[in-house]
Amino acid sequence: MRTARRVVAVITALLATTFLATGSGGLPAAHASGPAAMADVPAYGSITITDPGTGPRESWTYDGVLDCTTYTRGPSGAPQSIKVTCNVSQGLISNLDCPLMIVSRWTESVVGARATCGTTLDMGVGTDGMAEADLGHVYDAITCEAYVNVGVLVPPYSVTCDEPGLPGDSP
Amino acid sequence: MTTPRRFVPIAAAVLLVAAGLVPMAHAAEEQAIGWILTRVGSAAEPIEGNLAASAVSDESSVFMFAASGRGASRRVDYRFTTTTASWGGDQWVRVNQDPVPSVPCPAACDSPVGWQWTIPVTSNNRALSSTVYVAAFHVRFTTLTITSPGWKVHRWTPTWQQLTTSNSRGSTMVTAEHEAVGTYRGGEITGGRYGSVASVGLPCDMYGLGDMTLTGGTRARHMTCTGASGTVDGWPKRTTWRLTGAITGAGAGTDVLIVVDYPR
Repeated sequence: MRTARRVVAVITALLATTFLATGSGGLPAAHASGPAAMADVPAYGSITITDPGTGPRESWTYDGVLDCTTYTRGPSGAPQSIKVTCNVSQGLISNLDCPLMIVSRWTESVVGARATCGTTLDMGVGTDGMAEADLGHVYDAITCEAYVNVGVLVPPYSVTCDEPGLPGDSP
Repeated sequence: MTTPRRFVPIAAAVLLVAAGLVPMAHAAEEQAIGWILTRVGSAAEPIEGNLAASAVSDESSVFMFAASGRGASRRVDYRFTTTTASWGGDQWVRVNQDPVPSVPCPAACDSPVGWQWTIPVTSNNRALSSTVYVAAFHVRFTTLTITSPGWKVHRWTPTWQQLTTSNSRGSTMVTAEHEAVGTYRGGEITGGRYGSVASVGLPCDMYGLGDMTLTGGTRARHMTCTGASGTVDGWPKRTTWRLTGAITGAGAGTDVLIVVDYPR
């Protein structure tokens, strides 16, 4: 339900900004091309990578807005890195940004956590904690990654990349 | 400081390749197995299960996706957890000879061959009305288990083609024990008559610079080492998948572009 509301909100915002950018509703003006010409909309939503001990799972709230895929690499029957990449799909939403990306992680051992929109917020490898930053315009995709530099991901662990928008934004 | 030391063996491999002493791999269109998962009835159903498989080589991989529609209207269904899983990726203990890492590598970081991996096959409780395709390359001892009702399993022999870090012309990437370092310049693969799905993972996930673009599908997909370093796209007709651009860096894996054809 929350996901649907977010999708509706993003699409509504997009339509609103598109309408504004096209003036009286006609064809887009010549100068209204590219991200700079259109106000960015926060990419409301989240990506979670978790393994409580029953196997890794990836989930996201971007269905219908972004095309999300999972890429996993590991040496020996366990992943060393799990990266969820949510591509901007078909140009439907082309003016997303991440004004307040919040990356959080928890594990009993160590896990690295990082998110990317226009730029990257990398927490490095550790046990728990969170970090947040303005990651700017989404050019290609939003990514969220759980990783370790040596060895493999040891459950339980959880990494979440959450974009709630700036305070006062209403998804 | 330790990073250059980690690639001393790879540097040695560079010399071997340069001397013509190491054979180069070629794109493979065989040694792949697969399964097609369809619904028993017409109602959309979530899918849940897993694939257990053991690696046969440094290039062992699994690629699973779902597609809706038929023929020229076939589209990748991203409500399924589209997954590319690749064995290989950790030489750290052996290569850099640093102290034992805080998270020990159960394989002694030697080779992925023989190690079993259980990979989820899931739609995360989303009801799917599409068909799920599970393809695996260079694996054995496979067991596909579907625990959700409403799905039936058919065996499938997929056409699997791939560009790896060692068979890409024009690249200077050197692959040593399922890690690669150098400059990668891409290449192209032509998919099958009934369309195909492509998965890319740039070989610079450890570190690197540069960007590459995948074309041949729904639209150009731009990737960078530091951001979106992978993508998946599909096209329902014959197409040539082109990976252009260049990256320089190091990656924990050998497969860069995987193309699996849709069955008729």
